[in-house]
Amino acid sequence: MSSVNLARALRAIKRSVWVYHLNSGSCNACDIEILDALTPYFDVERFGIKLVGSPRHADLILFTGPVTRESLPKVVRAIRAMPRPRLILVLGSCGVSGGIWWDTYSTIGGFKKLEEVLRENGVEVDRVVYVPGCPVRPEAIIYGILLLLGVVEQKVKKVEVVASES
Amino acid sequence: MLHSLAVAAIQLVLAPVYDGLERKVRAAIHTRIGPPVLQTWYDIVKLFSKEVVVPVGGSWYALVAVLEMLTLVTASVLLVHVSSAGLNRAALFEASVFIVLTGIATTLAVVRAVSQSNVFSVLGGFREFSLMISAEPFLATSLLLLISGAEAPASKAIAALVLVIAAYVISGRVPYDIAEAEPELASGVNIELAGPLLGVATLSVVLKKFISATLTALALTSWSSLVGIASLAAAALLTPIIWIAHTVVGTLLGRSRVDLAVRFLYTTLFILSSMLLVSYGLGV
Ligand code: SF4
Repeated sequence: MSSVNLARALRAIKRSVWVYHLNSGSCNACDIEILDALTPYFDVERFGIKLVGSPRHADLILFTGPVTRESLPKVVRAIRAMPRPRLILVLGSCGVSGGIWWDTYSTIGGFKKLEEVLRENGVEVDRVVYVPGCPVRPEAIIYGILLLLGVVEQKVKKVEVVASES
Repeated sequence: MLHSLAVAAIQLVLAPVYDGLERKVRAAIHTRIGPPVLQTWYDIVKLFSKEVVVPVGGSWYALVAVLEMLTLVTASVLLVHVSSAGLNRAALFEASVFIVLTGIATTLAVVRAVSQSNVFSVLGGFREFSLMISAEPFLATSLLLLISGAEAPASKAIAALVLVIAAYVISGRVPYDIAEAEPELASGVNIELAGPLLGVATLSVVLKKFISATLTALALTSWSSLVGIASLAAAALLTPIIWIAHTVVGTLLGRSRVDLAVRFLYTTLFILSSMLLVSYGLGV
């Protein structure tokens, strides 16, 4: 049971987003793009975005990598250490689906699988947005954060089409 | 009492606004747009709306963080009393209590950091301690000498210089931000704090900057004969200007090696304080 008013906290986070960079075994190309997005060139501080060094301080995790078996317990601990509301931006093809490592013996295959592990361990995540790309572009990372906060509208929507006999 | 509470409230409201101004000025130096001036307030409001996570160590830890903030608020109010007395003997008692309170606030920060099981927190605690022993004794000596009538021009100038340097150090800016360094060092006295507790710690951080700017204003106005409202007005006017000057210095200076920064500071302050004691003894 959480002691927090999630709606109020999410409103407050819109103006102040502290991000924590969590690499679960990526090739580092996505991580370099994250660093790029946080440089003065993109000036993300104008949106209230700030990099922090501890998951305890974080509102949002910038998540990369296909989740290697070695990193799994540390990843779960880091996400559990975040105070709620917990927001996660899953970055890169590896993070989204496991990428080219989706069925290798040493990874669990991306965030979807990690979500199941988190649920089993009682770690609740309040919002998730997926940003694919190999590697993901810095502009896409910033757009993803703004999408997650509800500052911009999602452009692409999932549409299910059922083919009829005729 | 009511007057002191009003002063405390004004300082608590203003300090995060000045911090926002600092971030805006730093962004301008980087040729960025930067965050809004109220960004630090947005951060604090956000932190207070987040989940309360009591650190491993128990709720006493939370109490220490709150106590530390209240000690700094009291110290800051006392400094206003020193300022309105025009930095003379009448304010000797307030100045002495101010020095004791800033020492207590730093000790509380060190205690809550080193009592954590997180090694990075312990590391931050030791760094805070090394800064404390290299700056606060000099801050105390120079402030007390200025107040108790170091009238000779050389003594006064050296005491004011020591106070300006020591005040910059307690503001926790580069290269003396080693205790609670920015993300790349991943360590610090606040590393285990989250949500509202981190909000309280953030208020303590900006209050320290406020105290630092007020102390520098006191050192700079030690030549004037202003007292009462005029002296307070001068300090109130100078505080944001000095805050911005500190920002410019902090942005232009690079971060040096942790041990080098402290050793350089200790050597400089030790030499200056020795000169101060000699000139005070000789009455020049
Ligand atoms: S998505 Fe591509 S660039 Fe990113 S970590 Fe995976 S392989 Fe590397």
